[in-house]
Amino acid sequence: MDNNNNEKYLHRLIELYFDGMTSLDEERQLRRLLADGRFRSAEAEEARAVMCVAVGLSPTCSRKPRRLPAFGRVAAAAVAAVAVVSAGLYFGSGEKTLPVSKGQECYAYVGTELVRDPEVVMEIMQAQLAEMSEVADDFSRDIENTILTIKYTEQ
Amino acid sequence: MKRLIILTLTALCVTMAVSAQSSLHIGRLFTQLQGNPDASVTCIRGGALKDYKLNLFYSVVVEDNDGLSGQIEAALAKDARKALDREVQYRGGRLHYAFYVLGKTAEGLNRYILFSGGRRTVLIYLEGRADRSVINSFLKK
Repeated sequence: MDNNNNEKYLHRLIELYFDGMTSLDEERQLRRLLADGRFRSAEAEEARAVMCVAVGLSPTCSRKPRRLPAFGRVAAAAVAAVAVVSAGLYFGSGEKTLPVSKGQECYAYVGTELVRDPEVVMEIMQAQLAEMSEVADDFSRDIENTILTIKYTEQ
Repeated sequence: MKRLIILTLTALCVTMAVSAQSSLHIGRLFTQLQGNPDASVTCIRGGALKDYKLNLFYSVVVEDNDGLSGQIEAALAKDARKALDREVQYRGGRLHYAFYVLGKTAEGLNRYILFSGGRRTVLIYLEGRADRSVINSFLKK
């Protein structure tokens, strides 16, 4: 593939990624293309920021690996130890953080049915917020009534 | 060697603080109940929530299932202990309405939990730049 085709393919992958539709293999290819550094479009830069991909990991990079200074080796060992412990905490606790994935997501499960139409999903969200708004209003009214009752009782 | 130990301990403390801050018991429910015939789960993350000044909207709705409602209330009760601010109402000994403000995420995002109980249980988690007044503006008329 020449450079032009690669760039088109990259933008297609970026589109799929933000729609949440990339396979694992496609995501790997996307990371490889973003790390290349040749592609500097606004979409590529945004995808790099979201996916935390650093430029400069190209296989054509000719920098020789440098030996870290002593403090750097110690810090790296400490970070590695923390990473192992963190992984243990995360996977071992059984209580996960909220699912974190980069990019955009918009879906709903209504029972067993998966809904991906963004308009429908937004309508579901708005309906649920409206429902919560009514309950919150009832709560506010109850508080006001309680305060009024106390005031009249004190008089 | 002493330097390595000190660095590791410091980094461990920071990690555990962040982990404690960001992990929520209700988080598990949003994935476990996806596809459950008695539950509805909604997830919206990103640009679609821009008008609400939010980054993340997660909700689960359960109707006529005391078992699942009980699980939701139990998970919520654990997370509620970390709440910085709350509005809570009980009816008939059961949690009827709750609005919790949680501590910020490591990225400085505000977090809120909304709950409505009863025959139809609704749990909503919000995360984003929206402050309390913005949340109140679309919740309370």
